Amino acid sequence: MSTLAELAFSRQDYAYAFLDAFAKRELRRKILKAIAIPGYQVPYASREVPMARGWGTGGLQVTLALVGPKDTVKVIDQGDDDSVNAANLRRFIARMAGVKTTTDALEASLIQSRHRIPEEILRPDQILVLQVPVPEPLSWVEPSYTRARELHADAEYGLAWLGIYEDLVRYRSNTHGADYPVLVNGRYLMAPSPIPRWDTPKLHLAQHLTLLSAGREKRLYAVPPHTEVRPLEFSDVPFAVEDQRGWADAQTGVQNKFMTEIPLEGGQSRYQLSDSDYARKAALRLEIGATYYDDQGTFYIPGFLAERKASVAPSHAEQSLGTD
Amino acid sequence: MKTPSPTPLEARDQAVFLALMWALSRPGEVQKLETGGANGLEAVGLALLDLETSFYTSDPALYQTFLRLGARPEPPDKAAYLFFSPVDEAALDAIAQAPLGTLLHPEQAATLVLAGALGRGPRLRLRGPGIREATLLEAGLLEPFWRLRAERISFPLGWDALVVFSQGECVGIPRSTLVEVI
Repeated sequence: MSTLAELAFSRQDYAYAFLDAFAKRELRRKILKAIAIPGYQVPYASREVPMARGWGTGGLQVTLALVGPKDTVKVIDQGDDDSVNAANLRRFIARMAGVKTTTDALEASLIQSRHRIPEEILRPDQILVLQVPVPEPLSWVEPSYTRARELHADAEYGLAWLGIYEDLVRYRSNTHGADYPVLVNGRYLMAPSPIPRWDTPKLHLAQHLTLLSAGREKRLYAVPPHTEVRPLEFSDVPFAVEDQRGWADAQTGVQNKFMTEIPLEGGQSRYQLSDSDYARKAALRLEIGATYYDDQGTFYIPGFLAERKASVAPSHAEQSLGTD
Repeated sequence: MKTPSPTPLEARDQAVFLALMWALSRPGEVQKLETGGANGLEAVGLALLDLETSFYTSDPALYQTFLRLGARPEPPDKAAYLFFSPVDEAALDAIAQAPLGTLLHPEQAATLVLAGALGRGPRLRLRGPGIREATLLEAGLLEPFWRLRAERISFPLGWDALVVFSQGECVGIPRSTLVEVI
C-alpha cells in the first residue's frame, strides 16, 4: 500500500503560478463564460496578489490562470517592456511560473499589456491580456454600476451615443483620447481598456484571443478571435485614429506607427515610437512581422477605417480643450 | 526561493482548461483534450468543478467523482454544470430545463458537457464570433438536440456546450454561435 508521503506532492514554497487551485479554477470558469458572451463583463472574485490594486492585478490574475511552463511571456506598459510596472510583473510571472520571457511580440505566446496592442499583427495562437482600470464603458454617462448593468441588459446605449453627440456639439471632436467605446458582436458596449484610438481597430476581426480584466473592479471580459468590434461612430462623423501624420521617430525615422510626443524646450516636440520592441527591431534592422498599419498608415482591413481627411486636423491642444 | 513547478494534477487541469478555452474561442474547431487517463467528461469536471459550483449528471460514477470534489449536486434546472453521456431523450428533457441565465447576469447560464461522436450525426454549419466566415461540423448530436438548442437559446441568454469525443478531442459551441443543420 502506498504511504501518505508517496501520495503527497513534494513541498513547495508557493503554488505554481502563485494562485491556489481554487482561485485558478474560479478565474478559468469565468474566462470561459466571458468568451461565450463577447464583450460582457463577468464578475469574478479577484484575489489578493502581491501588487497594489490598480497596478495590473486584473491582468496578472488572468495571466496566472492561463500560464504554463511552456509559455513565453511578454509584458507591456504603455508600449514599453522596460518600465517599472512591466518589469515587475514580468519578473513576478517568471519567478512564479518558471516561464521564458521575451520582449518580442511575435515570440510570445502570452502577452500581458497595459494600454497598448503591439504594432505587429498577432498570430491566431497568441493570447493578449489587457489590464483594465475602468471596465464599465457607460461610467462616463451613467455613474451607477447597478443602473449601467440594466442598460447593458437592455442593450440601451442611447446615453453613450448622446455622450458622443454632446462632445461633438461642445468640442467639435470626440473627447475619448483612449478607451474609445466599442460595440462587440453587435450586442455589448465594451471599454477596450485605455488603449489609444490607434489600437482600437486592431480588435476588430482579430486572429488572436483578447482577454480584459479589471482587478480592482472585479470584472473580466473577452473578445474571441474573428469577432466584430466596432467603435461607436456617426455615419457623417466617422471614428478616426490619432492623426500623427508627419511624425517621425527621432531614432529610426519610422513613420505611421503610434508615437509618444516628448515636449522640448522652446515649444518643440520630439517623437518616439511607443512600441519599444518595434523600435528596437527597426533600429537594429531586424525582421519585422506584418503590421496592422502599413508604412503609409493604411489599416490592414480595407475599408474599416474611413478615409482620413487630407486637411490638417486640429492640434492636440485644440482637440482636448475645444475651440470657439 | 525555488520556482514552483506544477503538480501532475495541476498540469492536467491547466491543459484541459486551455483546450476548453480554445474550443469556445473557435467554435466548431476540434481541440485536443489531454485528459491524463480520465474519460473526457470526467476530465472537464475535474478541471472546472469545486465547492463553489453545482452539477447535474445521471451517470453514477461521475456523480461520485464530482461529489468528492466538493461540488453540489442539483437538479437540472438549478445546476451550473450538466454532464450527459449519452445525449438521449432523458438527457434532452433535462437539458430543456437547464438555466439560461438572466439578462442582468447571462453568465449564470449553465454549461453543458456532452459526449459526442466526431464525424457522425447531422452536418452543421456554424457561424458567429470566433469563426471566420463559417465552419462545418458533425458532432454526433442528433437533430432533436439542435432543435431544442434553437428553441432555448436567444443570445445573450442560453447555455454553452462543450462536446467531448472519445478520441480525446473536444469542440465548443457557445451560445453566441449560430448553428444550421444542413
